[in-house]
Amino acid sequence: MKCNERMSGTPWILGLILLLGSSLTATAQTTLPSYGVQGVHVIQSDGSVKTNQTIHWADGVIRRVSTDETLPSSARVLAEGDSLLILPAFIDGLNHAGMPDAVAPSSYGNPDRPSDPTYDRAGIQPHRLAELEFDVSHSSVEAHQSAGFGAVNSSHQGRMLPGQSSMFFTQAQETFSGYESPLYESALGYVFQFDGAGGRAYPSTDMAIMARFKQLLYDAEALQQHIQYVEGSGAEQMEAPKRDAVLESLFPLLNGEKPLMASVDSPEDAERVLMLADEFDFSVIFATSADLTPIASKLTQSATPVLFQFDRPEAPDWIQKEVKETAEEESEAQDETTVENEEPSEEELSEEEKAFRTRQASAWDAKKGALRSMLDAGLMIGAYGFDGKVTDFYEALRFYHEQGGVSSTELLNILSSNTAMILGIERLGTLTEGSLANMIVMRGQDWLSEDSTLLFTMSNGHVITIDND
Amino acid sequence: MTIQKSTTHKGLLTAVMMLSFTYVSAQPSTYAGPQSVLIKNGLVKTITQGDLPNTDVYIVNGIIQGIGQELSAPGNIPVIDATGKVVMPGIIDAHSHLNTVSTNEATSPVTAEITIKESIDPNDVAMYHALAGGVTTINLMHGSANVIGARNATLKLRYGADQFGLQFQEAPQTIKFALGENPTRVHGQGTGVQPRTRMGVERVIRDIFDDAIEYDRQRQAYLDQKEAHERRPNRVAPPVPVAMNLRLEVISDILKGNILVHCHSYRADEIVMLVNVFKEYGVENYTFQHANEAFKVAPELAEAGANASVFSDWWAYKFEVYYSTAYNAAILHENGVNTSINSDSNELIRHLNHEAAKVVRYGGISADDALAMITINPAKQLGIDDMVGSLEVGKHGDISIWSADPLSIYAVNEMTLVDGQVLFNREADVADARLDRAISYDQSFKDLQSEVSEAVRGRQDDACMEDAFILFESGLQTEQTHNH
Repeated sequence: MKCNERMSGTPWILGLILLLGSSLTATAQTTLPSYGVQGVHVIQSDGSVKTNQTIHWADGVIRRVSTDETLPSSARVLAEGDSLLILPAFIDGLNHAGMPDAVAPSSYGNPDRPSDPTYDRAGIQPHRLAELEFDVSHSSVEAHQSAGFGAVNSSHQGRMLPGQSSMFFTQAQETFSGYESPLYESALGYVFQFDGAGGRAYPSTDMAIMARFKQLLYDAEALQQHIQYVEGSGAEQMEAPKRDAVLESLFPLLNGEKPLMASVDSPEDAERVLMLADEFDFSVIFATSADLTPIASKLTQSATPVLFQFDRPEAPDWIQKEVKETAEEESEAQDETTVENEEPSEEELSEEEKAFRTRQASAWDAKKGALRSMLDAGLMIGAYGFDGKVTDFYEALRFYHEQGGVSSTELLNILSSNTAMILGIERLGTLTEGSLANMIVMRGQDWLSEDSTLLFTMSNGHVITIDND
Repeated sequence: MTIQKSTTHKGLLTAVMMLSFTYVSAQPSTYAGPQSVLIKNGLVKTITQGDLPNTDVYIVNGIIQGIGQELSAPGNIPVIDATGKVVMPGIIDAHSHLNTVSTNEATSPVTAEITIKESIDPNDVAMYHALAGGVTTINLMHGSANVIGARNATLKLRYGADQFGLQFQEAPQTIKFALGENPTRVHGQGTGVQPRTRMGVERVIRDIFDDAIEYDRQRQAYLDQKEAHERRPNRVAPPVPVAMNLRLEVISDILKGNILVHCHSYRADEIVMLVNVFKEYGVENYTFQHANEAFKVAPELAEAGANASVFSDWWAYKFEVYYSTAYNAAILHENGVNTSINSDSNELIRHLNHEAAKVVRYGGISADDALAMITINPAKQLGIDDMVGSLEVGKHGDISIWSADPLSIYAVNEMTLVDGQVLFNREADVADARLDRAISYDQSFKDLQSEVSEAVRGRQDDACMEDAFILFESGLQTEQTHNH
């Protein structure tokens, strides 16, 4: 699939690092390579294009972007030529890439007291940090590399509160030595979803998830207060608080220091999450493939961004059929050898079904225009949820471009700088001096074109050569 | 010939595509906020002040401003000619699960911390169907899986509004309780936790009430000391925090009279049990739902000031409800129990006028009393009778207009208004009343037909105890079908 500049290395085990102490990590520093590209077109996330550019990066940081062709003698020239495009690497704003499969609810069995399952059984695991189990050699990370993602914000799979997500580089495992880690930033936010405990365990419905979430924060609030009292003055006689790692992991959310990253399927679910945010005064980042335009004013007022999933929606069968038939008729009309009077097969439709189709066609248009609609409503949109299928991903991007009215610049913006800004990692997503060297190199005239080819993905300055065979 | 049809379809698709993300709207009128309207010359059934022939009702910004003859309104106010029609208050259904996202959180015998207000589906076409039957307000309830279920949501059927706009904001909070087979089957038989018997049901209620009383004491003591500590930190020691407990807060509010109980029940003995428990804990103004054996203890209910919300003639769908009578509502009424007729069904809700008429047919009560059972009586049970349930100046402009006496089998609801806005008009009725936002882009026509067929197929024919309330399937809880 790819080759890398370093083919040896030791898998990192962060859990071991934590056990042995951070001083060990210093013994395993690696020197990041120095690279350059020359004479290329640079496309920034804002759509601006500069031709005949030279980019030099070393130690994972972009050192220079200019028309000066001179590269340091130590830099290896990765590529050159005016047929090459260089863009910011994509960022996946929320994913499970590199994480183990979710534990099936049935494997837990049913709790003795369904109303009061353990935190794990209930799917309440906000204390879990992704880096404790992230596996950079996982095929899902490789798929991200192949699609042009240089970084991914990954979290555990699970249910209501599966864990806190962390940002990882997608650089290959072979580029690490010792106990190094692809982790860039830990614990960006708390993942939340309307996914009940499953089986005979509380909570099982969305409304119960809402209530359980509130109770968690009430309990966390009391525990935090207790700890503060004990640590303060005048509480010498006070009993010690009953420490609780799950509740304590929620203190930053309770204090408004970290966002809730809420996966929702509908505007109504998003409104429910906003109710929680209003009550407890924390910020939210939504992850969805739904059209949240109906609640756009609420989102803009609260400066709540949205991570959008680029799935390729399928038109209803009858529309696909008609589009196909129309294309065939047009083709036949141009073909002089077509036999005249050859009538296509027809289907009889009731008036009811005709009316149904009229409304469904409108719904299909709305689906296609969902992203455009949210952009026009002024929402801050990033990207998330790449499912590992590279071809489908680019088809989805072209779908929203060609049928959804979203420009290639807007798409690039969504996939790079917007996602970086939403996650608060502004050294990603741009190609400027001092930015992290996360880039992609493509051959072609238009990065979104089906004819363009992804050649390299750079993550943290490391080069991943994409095998397009 | 067929080419023309096909061309028509393709032309349609092409036209839609050219519109570029604009909707072709075929949905009915949707809620746009309180409106002004003058309804002229109808037979006005006020419910509380008798019938008024050839009378006008003038609604200004959603509130009834005048009821009388020869009323006039500014020229820009729409006028509805109700000559020959019957104008009555919008029907109120005190027991519905019309548009819940989920109905039962069946994993705990007590789930007072949950609220159906966080489980409202504002896109369900069932609301339009109910409007077509003249219904304007519903009690959207949690199911009956738990002894104490979730808090309910009183909704106005403002079709097209969002989940917040549908809520009857001024209505007091109500909560669902349930006695008998459902909670004992779900929890006792289902998961081996209390309650397994009707005795256990009572124990669950008493225990949680006692817990709430103790919690309330501890929480208040904590808050008091916290406040004192913050005021004089050097003189008052900080208290050990007592976390807010949402479940017990709600139970405490029941005991304080801030939340009205609506209790699923069937048998006379369990009904009397709850009356006694409530008397002991000082809980008042509650309503027994279903209450098929309530007629046996009607005097006791009247003495306790309890309400009853019942079916007109529906029973025998499981063991605990084999003993009942179509005279139930009439007997309760004659004994002075405020009684309403409810639907608990997305189909029955569309003809509650017929259900009320059955009480006249079987029980021989007056037509006015029967209409009260679907208007002002349920309004009292929901604590909203000062706003809706009758046609009086100052009340909400929630109205249904009928082609004839609503208790006639031939009567048809022609128009329904909520807050003065016409949200159902039989003359302008659309074939497909779904909201634009509820249209699925990938649902097949066949699947939609099945869905509609299910929605309008009438009473559930499987409402019997054999396959009632299947809670758990293959070890995993599935979405539960509410089963009375």
